[in-house]
Amino acid sequence: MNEDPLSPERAGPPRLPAWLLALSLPWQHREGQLGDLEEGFRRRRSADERAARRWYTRQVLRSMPAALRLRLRTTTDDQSRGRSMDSLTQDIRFAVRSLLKSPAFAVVSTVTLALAIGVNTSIFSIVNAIVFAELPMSDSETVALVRGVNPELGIDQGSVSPADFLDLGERQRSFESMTALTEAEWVLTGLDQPERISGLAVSAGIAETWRMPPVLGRSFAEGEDRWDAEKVVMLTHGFWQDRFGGRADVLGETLTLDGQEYTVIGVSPPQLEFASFSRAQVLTPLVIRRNEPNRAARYLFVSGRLAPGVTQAMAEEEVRRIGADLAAEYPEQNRGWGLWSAPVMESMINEDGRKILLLLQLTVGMVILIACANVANMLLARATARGREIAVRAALGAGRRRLVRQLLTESLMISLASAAIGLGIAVALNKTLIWISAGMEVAFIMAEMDGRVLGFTLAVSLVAPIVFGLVPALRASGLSASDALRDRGSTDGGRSGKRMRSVLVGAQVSLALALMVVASLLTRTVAYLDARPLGFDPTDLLTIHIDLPEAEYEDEGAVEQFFTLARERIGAVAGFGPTALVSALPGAEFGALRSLEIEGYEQAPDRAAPTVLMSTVTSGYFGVVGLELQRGRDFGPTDDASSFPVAVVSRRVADQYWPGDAAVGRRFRVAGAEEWYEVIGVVSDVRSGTDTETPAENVYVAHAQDTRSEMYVVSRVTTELALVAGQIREAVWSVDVNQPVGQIRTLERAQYETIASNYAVLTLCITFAAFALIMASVGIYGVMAYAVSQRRNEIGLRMALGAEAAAVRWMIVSQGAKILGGGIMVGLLAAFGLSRLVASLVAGISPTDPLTFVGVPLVLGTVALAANLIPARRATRMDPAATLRAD
Amino acid sequence: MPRGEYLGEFEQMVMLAVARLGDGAYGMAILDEIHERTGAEAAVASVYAALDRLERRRYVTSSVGAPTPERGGRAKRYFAIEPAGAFALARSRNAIEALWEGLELPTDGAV
Repeated sequence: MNEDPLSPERAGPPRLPAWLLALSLPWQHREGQLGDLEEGFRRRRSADERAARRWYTRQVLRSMPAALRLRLRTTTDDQSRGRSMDSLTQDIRFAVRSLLKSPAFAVVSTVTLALAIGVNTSIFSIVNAIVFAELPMSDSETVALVRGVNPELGIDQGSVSPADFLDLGERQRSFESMTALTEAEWVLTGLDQPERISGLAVSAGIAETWRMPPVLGRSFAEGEDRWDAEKVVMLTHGFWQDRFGGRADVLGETLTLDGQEYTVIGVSPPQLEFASFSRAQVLTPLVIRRNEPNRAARYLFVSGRLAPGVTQAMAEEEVRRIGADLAAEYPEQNRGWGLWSAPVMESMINEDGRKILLLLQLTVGMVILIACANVANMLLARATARGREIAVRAALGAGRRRLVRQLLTESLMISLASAAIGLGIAVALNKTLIWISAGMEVAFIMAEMDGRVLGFTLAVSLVAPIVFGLVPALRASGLSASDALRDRGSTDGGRSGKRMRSVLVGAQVSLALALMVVASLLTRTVAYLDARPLGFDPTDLLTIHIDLPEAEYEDEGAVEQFFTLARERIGAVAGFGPTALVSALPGAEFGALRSLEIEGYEQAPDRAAPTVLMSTVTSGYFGVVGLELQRGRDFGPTDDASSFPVAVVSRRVADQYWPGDAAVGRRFRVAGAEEWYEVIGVVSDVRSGTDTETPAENVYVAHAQDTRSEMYVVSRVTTELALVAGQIREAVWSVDVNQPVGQIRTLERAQYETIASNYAVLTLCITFAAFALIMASVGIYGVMAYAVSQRRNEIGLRMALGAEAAAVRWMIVSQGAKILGGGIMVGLLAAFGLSRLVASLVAGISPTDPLTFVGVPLVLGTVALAANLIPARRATRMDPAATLRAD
Repeated sequence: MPRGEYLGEFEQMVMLAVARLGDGAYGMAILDEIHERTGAEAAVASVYAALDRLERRRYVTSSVGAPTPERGGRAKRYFAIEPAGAFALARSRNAIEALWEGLELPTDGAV
């Protein structure tokens, strides 16, 4: 055995374990422990080297946990300089104390960030709901959607006809299974109240193709989609939860749909409720007759699961080929039509919508950057003011890292508080939007504060302090960023930085002005629209929507009879006045737009035919709503299907086409129709549902002569809606126990719902504008506060030399006013440009409304100047002696 | 009595080893002492971690000695018991002994 102590294999302990231990241990512990192990190793080596190596390695491995524990403990020590008190808690306590000492700064910066984070979170929750929506199919990358396309008609997302679907299914080899579905509606009876429910008729392959196992029971089996099979139904998860309380024993129960009994066999999983499918309540088998001759009726949504080894491209090629074959074989119905397939991911998620949303998110994301810039400006001003405090702390032994950490902790406190408030703002904003939009099917209804949204907010609040706090913290702690700049040869870092800040703030002012102008224009438009005379009082006018299923009411006499009875019974409910029927709610719905041919009316050749809104009413309607019968008579019991067609026209129609109050007795007909109507009366105008100033041109015809199955029962009521809703339904069911009753609401509510989207847009716009105003003001405040803090010496000197406080104040204010003025000028230009874009939305005022274009800059200027005044006043309050002594 | 006033078993073993070794209490010697007396083989970092903890509680102190060649030129770190440490050891022992007082447990002679 070689005894040379320097020979490599005898030189020391195994290297890898030694290196591993050295790496794990904090440096303070390396020497002692590695030394001990080496000593032990050498002692053992003289007996048995391999045993010694084993011993060493075992020691290292067993030491790992303790070594890491030691490292953890020592790292925390380093930062708190040997004190065992948790330094983070200390930092936080200190940060809170120092923020409490300057509450104005704390509040302004927190509010600034909170608004930015709130708006972002709100938008992100919408983006989240749409962009990250999950498809109802599992393994969706191997699912393709088959669509009917017709380039001539410009249809590229059309549906497929049942016969084409069957032929495709037989000829194709690309898919291991295919499925088709279509939306359907039924009247559900036998379960509480009759109601109209919607659902999907799906072919048996859906469970296989979509890999969507039922959460309860089974899916449709082969053969259950034959027309003579026993009727079975699946419930959607939502419907099952809502109506059956998620009971497992719902299987085997029966549902009566359109009068036929269906046995419940299963419950579909919640992920089916995607996009438009989310309205579905039940699923039934899709019945396709084998020899369906009509290929022109295209209504199936077709998808297929790719067979193993088949790519989307291969499937697409085959589907295209089969589509071309089918067009050649059935030219009379399929000419010009082809089939086309694409990955379901691409087809089901609206790419444009996605892009627009992401763009919106990006834009709003910029707002966070602006907010960060504003807070950074304030922090810079504050850092200068705190120079002495920081110098003292550094002199007392606080390291630079420690100081930066302390300052960043302050920033983090601001940002976390902002995130908490911002989350509240986002929730409130979403709630407001949902409340305002009155149940419209819009994106923000799906917006939820889920884990992803919370994660987003948290991430923003953690990154933001680094963005806005790092440079001020570095500068304050002495590692000056401007020094670093100077090293790179820039001698003008300060001035260009200042200019950049001024430009940024100027841009904020411009943006705020433009947004405020748009908000103001829209507010004035909505105010104008609301203020137009309605022509009647909508408040206690109750409306009940009734839509008779055509299958059961084919005969006009039956419809007429139903409504006559229903009117009687509803009118008998306590608190109801006389009832009437109308086909379109005045001021809320358009009615049918019709071109008229008017007897004896000379139509200018270059003008369009007279167009009116035609609605069907029963006698007594004008009385119920409160329209004044100005000439002639109302409809009467003699105006029925057997008598001459008659009509009542609004005052505006009468004046327009039969001037000189000569309308009664004159005739008109619907363009292209045979029948003439005779005008029997003239009633007062109602407001148009659209944004125009002029009242609607209304023509009313009698329900007895123009029987419709979808009508509103209207009546003035003197009771609360909630009290009578049940009685109204009972009244309808006493006529037809299987007839669903639609929405029951006051006309006021109906009108509100038609314009709710205006309010939603308006709210968003006002929110953004108010937000921009605050941003701009905070921006001006921050940049001026910083400027003042930079010029302390100069100002002190001026004051010491006898300058008037007012003159100094003016000097500061005018500097801010310059930025403000520049921003307003640019903003006005932008606003003029924008006003042209929104001109189509503006009604009742000019898009360059003088009140707006003078008032908005005034408001903005006043608020921003007020923000500017704070640092100006601070400048003149400084003790000249103190400021001069400070440096 | 607040937690942490009594010493853990391993801490007691380490401190007792240090006490027994007197002036020669450094890492490898402590490991050997524990092994010789109890048969237990401790990991070196565990011993140091325990000593580090004890040092923070001012039960032991440490000092760095001169480097020696058999340690690959590395210095030894010597440990010594402080009066507070001796007191804590004694109290832990008293507590355990008080609990053992008059107690017989069937251990099948395995100890």
